[in-house]
Amino acid sequence: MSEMIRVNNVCKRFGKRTVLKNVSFQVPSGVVFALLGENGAGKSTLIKSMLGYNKLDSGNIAVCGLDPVNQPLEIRRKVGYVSDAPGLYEWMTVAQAGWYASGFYPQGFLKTYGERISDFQLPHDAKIRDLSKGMRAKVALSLAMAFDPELLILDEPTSGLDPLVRRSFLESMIDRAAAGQTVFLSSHQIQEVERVADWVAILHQGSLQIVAPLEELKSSISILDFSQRDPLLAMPAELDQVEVLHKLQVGRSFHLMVRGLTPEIVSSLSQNANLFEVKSIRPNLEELYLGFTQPFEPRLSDDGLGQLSKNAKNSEVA
Amino acid sequence: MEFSQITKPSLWGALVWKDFQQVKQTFAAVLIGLFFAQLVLMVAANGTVEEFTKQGFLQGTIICASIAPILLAIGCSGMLVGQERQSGTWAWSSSLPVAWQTALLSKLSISLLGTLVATIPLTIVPLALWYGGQFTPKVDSIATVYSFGLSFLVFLEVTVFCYLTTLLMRETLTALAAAGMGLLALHLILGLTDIGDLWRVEFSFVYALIINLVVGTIVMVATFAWRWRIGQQATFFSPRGSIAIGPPSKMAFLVFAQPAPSEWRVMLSHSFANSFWLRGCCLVGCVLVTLMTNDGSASLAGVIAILILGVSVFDGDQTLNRFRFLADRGITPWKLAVSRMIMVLPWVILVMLFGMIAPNLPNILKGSVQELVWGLLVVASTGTLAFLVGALASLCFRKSVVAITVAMVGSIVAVAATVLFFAAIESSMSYAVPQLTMKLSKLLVLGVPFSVLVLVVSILLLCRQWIVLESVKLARHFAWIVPVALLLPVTIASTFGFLTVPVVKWQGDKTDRSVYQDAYRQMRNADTKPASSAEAFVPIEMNPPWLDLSKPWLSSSIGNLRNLAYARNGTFEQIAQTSTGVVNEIQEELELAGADSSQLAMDVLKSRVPDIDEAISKSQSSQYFDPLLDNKIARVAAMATLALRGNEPELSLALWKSNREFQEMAAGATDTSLLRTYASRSVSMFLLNQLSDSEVEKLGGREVVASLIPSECDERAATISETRSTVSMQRLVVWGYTNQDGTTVNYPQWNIVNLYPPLRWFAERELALELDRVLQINSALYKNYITYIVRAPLVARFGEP
Repeated sequence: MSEMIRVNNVCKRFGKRTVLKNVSFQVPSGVVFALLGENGAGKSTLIKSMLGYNKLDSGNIAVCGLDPVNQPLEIRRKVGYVSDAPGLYEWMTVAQAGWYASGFYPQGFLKTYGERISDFQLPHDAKIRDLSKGMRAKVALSLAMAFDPELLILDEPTSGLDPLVRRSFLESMIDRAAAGQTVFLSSHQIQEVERVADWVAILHQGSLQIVAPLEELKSSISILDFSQRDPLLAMPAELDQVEVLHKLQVGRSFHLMVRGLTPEIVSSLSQNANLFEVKSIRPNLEELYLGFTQPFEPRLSDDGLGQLSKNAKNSEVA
Repeated sequence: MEFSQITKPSLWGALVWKDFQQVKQTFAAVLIGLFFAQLVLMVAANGTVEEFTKQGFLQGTIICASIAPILLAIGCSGMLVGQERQSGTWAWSSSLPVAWQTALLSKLSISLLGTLVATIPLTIVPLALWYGGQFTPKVDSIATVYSFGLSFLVFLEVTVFCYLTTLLMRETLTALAAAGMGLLALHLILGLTDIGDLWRVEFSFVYALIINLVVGTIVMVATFAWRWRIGQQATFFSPRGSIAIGPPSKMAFLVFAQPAPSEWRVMLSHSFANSFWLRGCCLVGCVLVTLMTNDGSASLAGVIAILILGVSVFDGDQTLNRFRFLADRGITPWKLAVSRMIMVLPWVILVMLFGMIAPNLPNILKGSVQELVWGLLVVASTGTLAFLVGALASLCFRKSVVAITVAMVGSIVAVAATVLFFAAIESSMSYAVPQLTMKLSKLLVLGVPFSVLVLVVSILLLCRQWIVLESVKLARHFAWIVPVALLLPVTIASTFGFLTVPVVKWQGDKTDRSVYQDAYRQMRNADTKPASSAEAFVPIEMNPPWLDLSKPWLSSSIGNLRNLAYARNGTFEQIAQTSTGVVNEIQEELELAGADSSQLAMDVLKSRVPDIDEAISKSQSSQYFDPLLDNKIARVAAMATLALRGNEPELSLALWKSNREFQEMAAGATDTSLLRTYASRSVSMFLLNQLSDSEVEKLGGREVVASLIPSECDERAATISETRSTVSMQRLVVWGYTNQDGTTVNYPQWNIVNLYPPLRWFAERELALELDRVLQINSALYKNYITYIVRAPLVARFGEP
């Protein structure tokens, strides 16, 4: 499987603020790759860097084997891009927008564009300024997909789409991946991403938390819940065998996200006299996302849970 | 049509099509506005008698054509770069596989070619006027090449700078204002260095222009490439990405610790910050123009700056529909409108002070207090109107570039409509420019309260629609403003126009007044009769129209053409003063020559006769005008008078004949010589008229004296007669027939003039004054008219020669 995108130790600073911190990953071709992250995590900066809009402070990026900064035109010919706020000419009609864009791409653009807007049930003669937000997003998507690009980069692509179109669109993304084309999307719609994404990367405050195939991620990471009878007693030694990715403690109850949890460890923990209600479940993507982006320790809150967790931490140290 | 059947455009075709679509409305607005202005100037020129002023109007048609490239350069930059960046389409364009060079070349091509093509229709009027022989532009090959080359360079310079600033700044209007200010500042700086003043004064301007163009082009191209590469994401002042979530800063804590501000405080501070840089640019630009120019263009720049300030009132709220934030928080429309306008007013006042009053301060201070107050009133009225028109435009149009274009074109149309109204109501414009300016400025001051009322109410009403409606529906709600705006100046002009008619004061003897008035009443309806000297000098007082209400609709106003008394009184006063001076001068000269006795004086006079004859023969043989002719006419007449008083009738007769010959020389020369010899000819005729009956007998009787009067020119009488006929015909067309007995007046039905009394008052007064003006103008145009004026009393006394 060849690489469609290679991001290697990328750092990007705006003034004194570092937006991307040593980000590295590869996107194989023929997959749907989802980039997740909270607002301001650096997703759009990373996408713009991939398209050559940003010069990097360090590291390098290759898209379709091309350098985005030095070969921006070649990349634009191969990559379809829809930004989070597509700036279409409001005075153009839907048809005129396609006609105008077709001038920059090879033959066949108009035919595919026509099919797309028919699928989206967009009126050909309507001016862009008269369209709703969702309809504008459909036009932008149609324009980006009309030249059948090798790589489709979508920044919040389903924002504003109605559920029916959203489902249809996501299925088309799967079809594209099946046909060997690559889709790189950033989204907050985690459930939808989970349905279509082959690979997932989570960006948190400019740092890449994890990047892996979704199925592998889900199979290697588990949620472990248990409660302690006596908080003064030490934690069982079996927990040293797993990698704790995230821990949430409320009183004597623990909610851990761990990697490397085996049925044997779970069985051993269940037999520990100090633990009760030991449960192990496979997390969904949303739980994984929250696990990687929320603070490791529970935050202080008004109901005293913070104090309890502090006590529990102290006891753990003891 | 199916998409598969549509032909795909080429890359160039698509780019050029898109760019043209973006600027076509700007082209149309500029073209229509300037073409209309050219037509108005043409009409004004046709009605203007003063040749210098007429040529000025006609040259204005060329100026209209020459400023089109500059306006289009500004408009194209605003639409092709500024608007693209402000609306976010720059992001999509830069994400397409188009090289920055191609995109830049397409935009520049449309700007350049479009401007060249658009300028062609604007040359139609000047070329037609030139071909028709109406005016002669200063066709000097070097000057023409220089002018064309210069305008082309200025177009490129403005284009480059506007591109540059719109690439750097996100707010289009601010960027365009900054470009203007930057250009002015650079020209001022480079001009002050005077490094290029090697050839001529203008060369420093060209030198600065070329430096600006070269450096500006390099910087602009680099900026375009940079901006195209980085897309939409950054502004010049904050090249940052989106801010990440993080803990609140200490400053944020301080802000939150303060008590919540009042609604008014929020609105006013927000309004102050809105378009702050744009407003600053307007003010600084005005000051720079004032420093660079010494003429009225500074005032014009002030008006334009105030117009832009008006557009800035709602500009900040229009960008990306930010007003919705306020609307969603229950801000009332009037509070929004008032808070926005109040905070711009200080800027407007500053621009008035520095841009409009300061350049004219020397002239203003020269005049009286009344003129000072009047000047300030005109400035305040103009500024207020420009500000409110700009504010209304910014409310009606979401795009600031469109708003400023519409505001400017709308202002031109409104002013032109008023001027055309004057032209139409009077059939021909024979105003001198100062008169026209004074009339229009009076109308302006009179109409401002009404215009302000209409504009403020419009803004408040529209503000409500603006806040709650989508942009596409907004147009329906301001369509009614268009006819109101167009009709308002005309309505005001027609309603209050009569107030601008000057009242001509009685300058003659009070005892003659009743005699003249009787004569006037008898001749009331005798307008079509040929002119006679007796009629032409009947003075009559012009009353304000409300004092004439006893008369049936002022039908007799036409008879007021006899207010030539105004001119006549002035003429005789001048004659009296000049004649006394010349006679005294001659006497002093004789005394200096030692002629202490009258006999000796006569000897001196006799000795000078050969010199006079020689002077006459020389003047007749020479093709050039004798510059001392006026002096000779007066002197010879004075000498003739002295000779007669010294009991030398033969000598006196010879001198009077010489005097006539000199006068005929003046009449046979150019109009200029007529005017130059006016005073001395008046003196000589005055002196002739002062002869007593015994002196007339000494000279040979009335017939001999009559022969000493220069011959009359029939051309003048024919002109007066023709003018009277024309005015009578106009009168018939405008408001119907007047019976010969002057008692019954039949007004035609469905005549709009009669439906609106103030309009009728205005028309009556204007038409009455029209004849007066024509007669006065004849004095400058037709030969011997001045002779006629001074000769008329002689004819009455001695009869026709």
